[in-house]
Amino acid sequence: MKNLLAILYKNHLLLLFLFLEITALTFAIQHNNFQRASFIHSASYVTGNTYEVMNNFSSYMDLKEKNALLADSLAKLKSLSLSAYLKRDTSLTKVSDTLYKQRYSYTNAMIIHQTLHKANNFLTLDKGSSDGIQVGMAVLGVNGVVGKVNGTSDRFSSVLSLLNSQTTLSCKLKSSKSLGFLVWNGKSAGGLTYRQAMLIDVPLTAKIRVGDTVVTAGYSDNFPGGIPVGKVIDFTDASGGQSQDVKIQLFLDFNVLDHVFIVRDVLHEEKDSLQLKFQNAN
Amino acid sequence: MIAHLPRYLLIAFLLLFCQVMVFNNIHFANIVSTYPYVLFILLLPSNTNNALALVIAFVLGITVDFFSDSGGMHAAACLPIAYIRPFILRTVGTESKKDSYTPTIKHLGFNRYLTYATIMVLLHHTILFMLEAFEFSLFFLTLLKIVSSAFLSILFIVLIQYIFIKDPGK
Repeated sequence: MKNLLAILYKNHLLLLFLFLEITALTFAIQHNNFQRASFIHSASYVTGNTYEVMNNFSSYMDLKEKNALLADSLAKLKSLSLSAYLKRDTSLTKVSDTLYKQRYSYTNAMIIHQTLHKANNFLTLDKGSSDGIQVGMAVLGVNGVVGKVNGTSDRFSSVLSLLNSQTTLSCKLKSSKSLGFLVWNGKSAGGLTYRQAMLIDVPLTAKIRVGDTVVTAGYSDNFPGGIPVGKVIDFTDASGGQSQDVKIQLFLDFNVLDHVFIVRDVLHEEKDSLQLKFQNAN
Repeated sequence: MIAHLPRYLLIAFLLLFCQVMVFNNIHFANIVSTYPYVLFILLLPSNTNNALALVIAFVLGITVDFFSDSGGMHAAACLPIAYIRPFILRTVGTESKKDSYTPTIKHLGFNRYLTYATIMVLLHHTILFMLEAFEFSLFFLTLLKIVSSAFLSILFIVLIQYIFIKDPGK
């Protein structure tokens, strides 16, 4: 016993080192493997507040561009609103709007921190669980998909960016309706920049043309369908020859991104429980 | 040691602030990034309790991790350099057995300091980028990242000393 203590004391430095190192490595590996298990993320209280204060200063720098972008999207929305349409046939009866039920609700949020150049990128938003944000909600930009909420605190939320090797999103080609999975891997050979992504597992039968628009399929959790994501710039047969890989230029420029919308699918739970009950139970 | 405390706290705060707000945003061609915050570990006095140095390295690393969404990678990279620091200092350091000194360019001389900083920064960056890549494919790309980023970090570490730290440890 005495000897054991002596050995322990003699090596206490090495033991302390090993203990701390293993702790750190565990955090790192957990962070890489389980996106939701990690608690070291920039949505925590202290880091979230720091980034918010810094962002208050830096957001003044490009107000002009952002205003232009917002005015743009406002104009698009205005052109879709009822008042923009001319009533052509007054003899028609009034359409009862019980025909439509709201499916998606949007919350406006601001990015207070994001990474672009890493192998796995994340964003931090200034809305959190007290604003009704939940893990799994979709995050959209003015002209494309941003990512998916992967952690929330009271006032901030952490978002798994589209530019992350763990993100997959079911998308389809607008013209041929062929499905594929949108993935991003900054480490892949040739390297994708933050303006590019890959659409994989596209069937060989799909006719693809350079310039085709890729839109969300609406099958992934919380993501509404038909949102333009990007356009095709290149395509090749995947190794093995069973499918095609399509390289996409994203419409969304993450570099100038600032305001985003967090999307809540009102019917998400209903859809989920149905699928769980009848499709996964065998 | 106690007398150094306020100054070291200030240095830690400034280095972390610059790392998180400025240096974390520096990227060239998706390859070169820079982490001059390790300067803090390099600057610890030579007679710092080794266990304390390990704890400091862990806290420093995990703080950077919190701000850069990198799990525990920075902590994992800072610990080994804090662990081997006394051995490196004994090898490169001056022969005069003063009871305590702060390892700076002024004290060690430029060449000795550069050796010390290069070994420490290279080790730190090697572990950091290997953890980030998490695989051995694209080994040469990772190697390029390590070497170029280490070069930039060492450049900043040397510049910061010439600009800000006047007569440290005296």
